[in-house]
Amino acid sequence: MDLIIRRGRIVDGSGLPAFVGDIGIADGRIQRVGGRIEATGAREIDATGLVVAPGFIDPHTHFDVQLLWDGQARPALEHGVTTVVPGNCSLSLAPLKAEHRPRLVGMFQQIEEMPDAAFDGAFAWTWEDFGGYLDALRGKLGVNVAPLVGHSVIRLWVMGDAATERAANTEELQAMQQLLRACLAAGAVGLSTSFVDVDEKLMPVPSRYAHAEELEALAAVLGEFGRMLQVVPEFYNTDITLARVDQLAELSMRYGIPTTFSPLFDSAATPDNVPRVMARVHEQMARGARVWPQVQTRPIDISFTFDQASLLFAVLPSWYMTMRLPREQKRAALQDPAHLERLLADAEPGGDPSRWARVRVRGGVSDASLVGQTLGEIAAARGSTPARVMIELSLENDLGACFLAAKLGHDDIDRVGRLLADPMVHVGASDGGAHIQSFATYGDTGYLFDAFVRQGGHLSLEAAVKKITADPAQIWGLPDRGLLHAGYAADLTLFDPERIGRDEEVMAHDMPEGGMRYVRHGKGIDTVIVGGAVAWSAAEGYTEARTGAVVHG
Amino acid sequence: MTPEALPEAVIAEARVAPGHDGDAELVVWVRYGNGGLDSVTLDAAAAERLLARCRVQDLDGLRGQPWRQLMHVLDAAQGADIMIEGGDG
Repeated sequence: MDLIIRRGRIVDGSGLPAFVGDIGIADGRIQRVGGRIEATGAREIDATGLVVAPGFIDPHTHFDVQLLWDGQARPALEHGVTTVVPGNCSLSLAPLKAEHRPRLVGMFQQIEEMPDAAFDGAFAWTWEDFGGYLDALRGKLGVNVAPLVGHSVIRLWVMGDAATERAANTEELQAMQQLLRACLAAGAVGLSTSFVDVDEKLMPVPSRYAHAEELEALAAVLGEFGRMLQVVPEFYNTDITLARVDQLAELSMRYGIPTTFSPLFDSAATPDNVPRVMARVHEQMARGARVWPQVQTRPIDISFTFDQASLLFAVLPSWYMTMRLPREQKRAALQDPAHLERLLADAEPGGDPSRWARVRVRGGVSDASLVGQTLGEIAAARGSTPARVMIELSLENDLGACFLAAKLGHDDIDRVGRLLADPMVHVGASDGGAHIQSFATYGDTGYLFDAFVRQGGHLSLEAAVKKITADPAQIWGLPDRGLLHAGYAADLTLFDPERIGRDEEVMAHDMPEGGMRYVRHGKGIDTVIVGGAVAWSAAEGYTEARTGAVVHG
Repeated sequence: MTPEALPEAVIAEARVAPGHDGDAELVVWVRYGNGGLDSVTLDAAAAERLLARCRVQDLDGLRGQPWRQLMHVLDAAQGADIMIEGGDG
């Protein structure tokens, strides 16, 4: 055996109860599961006290660009994620003609917030077709990649500038079908499309110009391969989302394909959204359709500065009016003693500082020691109040101080926990690798165990593991993944069930040419094995293993 | 009752909500002539246009405003694809 994991608490992904035993691995495959293995391994890991689970699968990421210089998709790997699905929301890096690269870069920058340097020198554009992009990844991967092909780039290839002007004609539809067929044959696990996303000029991405007939034609090709259709519906409106669920159900039934849509999240402002959408999902699933809603585990945080008029202030009219002033007038108003007192009286009525006390400083301040502290903590140190400190910090930093109001949505542990436990819910929508300068999209898997297994008790340990291993493997049709069974790919995550979680969000400058992003590091993960080799461990950190594979559907 | 005889739909309420992308959004609830309720979601720029168009300074001032104000705001939203859908309660 190349590797033997001894005495672990095996949670095999099936949802069945855990049991203690050894796991033997050779040639990148699981050879034996359970019992005591008498043979000696070239390497052995003592997993006493640890859960040994299949590697986690993240079905909604935007690592397309990052994978070209970071084949480990950091920091997803250290959270136990061994397979990522890039190419979501209609955007992938292939197929793409050289002449269309600038347009796609703009779309990616809007979604991923990736700096220019990432596209200018961090990798060489060696491909145009889908297979060429996969070739550019092969040999560099420390994580497995199951890539989607984007509807917008397929449109762009076939229609050029007209992709963002009109519906396709018959010849163009046929050309798109041919192109999708080629991408699926090259290894795409499905097609992604979006009814919502915009480019860097806030104009709709190409997929939004498609008529229903176009999506139907492409779904027919997906049906030839039995592959996935991923959709971003108009999630801001329940009724339109319901119509999309019905549309996806019809496509699923007609062409025999799985479909998934994301995001679906809970909000106090629209409390009937999730119940209504899930009722329709259940109805369609009962008919035999496959329409999987993706639900993120983490709550939604809102970040803001005084430089923009965030709607967070709309509940405080005096503040909102001030924030909407031109920049210099805003600065003057914030420094005017009488106006300042009015603002503070509105923000902290009766001297109650609670509204802003838990807001954190997340960056944009000259005193780096303040980053991560709450306004309440800083106010206590300064003998001030949270709202006054927020204004002071903004003025001290030319309105650039950035604040974070955490857990403002999708934050009701019981409502979200019951939703996640629904067998029709697909855990996903992490957006890993996207929004990198706004918030950290890593650690959803750890949060699942922390909030909904340990704290809320909405899922058993075994059910939670199944949600992010065997379930996604089955939903996406990823062969030999998601279970600890003999013959399956040796992707495993070893973790401490009492500690697994997500660390605090921190700023990192690890993008090309020192570009900034927000990340979270893992907690409670001990070892991550990809393709039979240790890819990350708490003791070694990231290793040189490049045993990740392109996973075909 | 014919559609013409129904009272015009009006804004019933506006609430700040967290958006998927980490920005705050404005959820505007519209009450239809038949009593049905439905919502549309605006980003910060569209919300500001709505307040300006309705000539109000705060969210409470939006209550009772005709739904057509929303239509004008959404028409002006470049690239936005927010639609008003009728709900039946």
